[in-house]
Amino acid sequence: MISLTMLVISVALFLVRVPVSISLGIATLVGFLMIGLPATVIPSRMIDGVDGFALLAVPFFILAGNLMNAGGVTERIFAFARAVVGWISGGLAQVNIVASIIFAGMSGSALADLAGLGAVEMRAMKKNGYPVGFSAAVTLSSCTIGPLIPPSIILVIYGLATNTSIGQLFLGGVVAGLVVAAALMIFVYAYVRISGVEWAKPEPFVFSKVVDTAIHGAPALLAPVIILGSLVLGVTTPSELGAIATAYALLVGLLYRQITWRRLYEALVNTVVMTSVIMYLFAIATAMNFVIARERVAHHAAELMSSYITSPFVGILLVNLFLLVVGMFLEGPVAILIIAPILLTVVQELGMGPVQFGVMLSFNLLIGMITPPMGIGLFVGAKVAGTTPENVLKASLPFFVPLIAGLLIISFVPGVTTWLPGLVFSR
Amino acid sequence: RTLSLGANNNANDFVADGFRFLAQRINELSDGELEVEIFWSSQLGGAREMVQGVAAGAIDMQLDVIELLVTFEPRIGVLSMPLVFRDRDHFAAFIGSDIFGGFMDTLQSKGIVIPAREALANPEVAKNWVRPYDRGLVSTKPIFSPDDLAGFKLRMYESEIPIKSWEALGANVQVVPWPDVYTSLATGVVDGLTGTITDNYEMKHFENAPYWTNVHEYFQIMHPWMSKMTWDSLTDSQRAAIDQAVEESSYVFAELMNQALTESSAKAQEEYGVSIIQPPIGPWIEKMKPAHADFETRGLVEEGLIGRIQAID
Amino acid sequence: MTSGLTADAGHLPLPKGLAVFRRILRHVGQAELALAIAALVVVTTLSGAQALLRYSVGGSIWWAQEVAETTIMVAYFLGISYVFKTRQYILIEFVSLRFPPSVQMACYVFAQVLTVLFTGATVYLVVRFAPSLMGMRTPLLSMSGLIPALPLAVGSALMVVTSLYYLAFGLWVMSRGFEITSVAAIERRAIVTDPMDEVDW
Ligand code: NA
Ligand code: NA
Repeated sequence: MISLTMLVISVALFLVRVPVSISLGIATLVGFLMIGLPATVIPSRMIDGVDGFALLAVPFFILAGNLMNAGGVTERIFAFARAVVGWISGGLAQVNIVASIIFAGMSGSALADLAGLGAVEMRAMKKNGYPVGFSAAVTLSSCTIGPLIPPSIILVIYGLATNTSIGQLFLGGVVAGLVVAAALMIFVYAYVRISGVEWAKPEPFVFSKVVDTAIHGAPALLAPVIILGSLVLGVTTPSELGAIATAYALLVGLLYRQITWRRLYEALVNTVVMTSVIMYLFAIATAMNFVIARERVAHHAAELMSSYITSPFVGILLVNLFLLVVGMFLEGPVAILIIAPILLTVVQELGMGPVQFGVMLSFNLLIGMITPPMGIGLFVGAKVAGTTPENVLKASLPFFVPLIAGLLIISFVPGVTTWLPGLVFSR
Repeated sequence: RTLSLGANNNANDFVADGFRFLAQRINELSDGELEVEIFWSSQLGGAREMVQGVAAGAIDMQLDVIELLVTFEPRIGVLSMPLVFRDRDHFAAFIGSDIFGGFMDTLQSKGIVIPAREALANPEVAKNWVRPYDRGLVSTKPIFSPDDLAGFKLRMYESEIPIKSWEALGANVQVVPWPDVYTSLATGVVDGLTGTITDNYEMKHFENAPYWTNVHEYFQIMHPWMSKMTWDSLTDSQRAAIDQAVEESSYVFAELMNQALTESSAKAQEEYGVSIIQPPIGPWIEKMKPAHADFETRGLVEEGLIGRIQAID
Repeated sequence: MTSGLTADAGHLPLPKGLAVFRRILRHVGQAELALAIAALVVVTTLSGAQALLRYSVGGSIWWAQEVAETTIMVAYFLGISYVFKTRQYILIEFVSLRFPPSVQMACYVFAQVLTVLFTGATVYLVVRFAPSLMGMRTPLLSMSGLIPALPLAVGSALMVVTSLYYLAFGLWVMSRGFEITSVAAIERRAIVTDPMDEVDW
């Protein structure tokens, strides 16, 4: 009951333009007063919420993404992807997707893909006559690959919220990210072939261009290999991986001689802003979560589910549907903190493991990031594309077909998320 | 009135029935005046954060290992210092001693009450609460003496005294969060960790690290503790009910823990072929002695505390 | 996310008191940003060094973790205070944009009041909790439990001041009866520090 009141207060305040963090904070204060708990616990929960070594991965991976954008890494990734897949039907749209896969190997945030790589991609597409809406839609849907392929901020947060190994989650996301990318590429291919649009021209394949861009882009292209390698070979723990990624991105930027003091400073400011917005929300959500836990919402939800749903298929479908709705209204990290432990109990009854669930949940919430009314991706995407969120949304609608297809594959084929961690981590 | 009981364990854990017994007995002995609601699986925050919640009065009760309370009483750090106690009986005697009583006084002044603390003077009850599992060294290669620790990457949890102690024993200490230990062992980020067979069996750590050397690292005592705010608000008869329920449940916990120990040791050997090594403990104690002295001079441990503890019979 | 700006915003001259208030806040904001960046750099360097040490000599600095965890709080909580000065926090405008301008203005004032309320409550609660925090020790370096709480307290206190400024500005606009075409434009006029264009939500 109190949890419901907190939800109503939060949403009511969102709607009258109170900052999201403050809305959650006020709702939390009310929740503590209603349940009769000493409110002095609020600051203590807020600090505990963000005080963890593994959470340092969040600023690190944001910084790494920003440094890649600042250091010219992004352009080289794009050039390489263009040489490799530009000849496929869909041309630059296919390039857009493949570039996101490579970018994903170093950046942990979808927004870094959207605002940095996305700008490069959309500029090139515009120059070659692709409609703005379509370009924005491809960019937007492909940025969801970023947090599936390690490193990933959202998977770190899930791992912490549910006590799941972050290393296993990272490996669990690799194939899932490739599956989503493949779904998007097939969709673009079919879309271009069937509609016969003439702007999506494939570019001629030139082998020497592949070699050339690969050589020029080598330091950038090696990043995913290094990151995944460090993870698999056990050089470091996932959070320190973030520091390594940052150092590497900086090094590559220096190598390309594109990093200036100005760009470095901008990357740092950007990182402070993005990180503190996420972490402040996260801190408040941790305090709020205390009240929700006291009300045993998790327990009741699991009980309710298990008494009505006996088929794992229907259950997992329903969980996904529920998550899609949640993702429309809550920021990814906040949603994970509050509902991941609840739903994990539910899906474990349905036979799903924590790694598969983590990847499924994260991808589901990433879809929510590009869905109105609170999809931050729509706004950033529209801003980068220089159009309105409504236009971007309209153009993006067909792309929900491959995204949902990817989500269903992740949900119902456990091997997608469990095969690689199993291969690497057991002897 | 409903009291909240925070637990790090999950509802299917081998000691979960002990929690349930405690909750039920408090209800019965208070003639239904008190109801205890158990929050499993760190729903109210991590074990360490729950301690703060108890002190602040937001959580009424918590049941876990006592060394978590070190954040409020630094002297409790001595509990997780390797090779201070001779054996489980010595440790139980210490729990019933005035020294530990002094620790409990400090805790009380900081908002944490240990219910049924008088019962700890009874060696039988104290020993019930002491976990029967020995803490040893889980490792990817066999370890016999401290000399084998040269270059050995040992995983440790985030706590000052054990980290410095194992550095003193010669290991190369790395802090790794518990859920990531499995992958760290698999990939070689660490070569081993300290802990009980039971816990490591549950986490499948033996899959990659099939050796367990019993170094008698330290002993652990589980016990409930309560918020002083809650305690002060209870009637005398309610407090008496809690005291009695706590004392009774010690026997349940002892039984459950012993059972789990037998089962998991057998299973660990059966499923993973774990080699259990019982090394001569002398070299370990010898190596640790100068470190103990060093810790006292550096103020990590109260001057003379280790000596007074070791003087207990 | 602040919405697009309109051109008619730049005309209101701020009264002297508010202008001074803003200038002071601007300096505070610069200091916050500098400290937050410094904290981020220190933590990144420390953790990078840690990873490097582990890779090269197989060892690590035992206190690095706690120092990093505590220092990053400065980046988080002074950072968020800076974010509130530049209005780069997340908010939802879908619905409120459809309100009449006067109602939008009332919403703006209401939001400032709530921000003062919540951040003020945070400061008050940290102070109330301080004795308990002082009784605690951090697990590695045995620092006072108060230290990790300081950035939250300081950041929240600074957010109170910033929101009071925005509140005063809103009340001033309302009292003068300016014609309001867009609240976003009004907000734009009051903003303490312009966000850098590259910082994008
Ligand atoms: Na990624
Ligand atoms: Na893309």
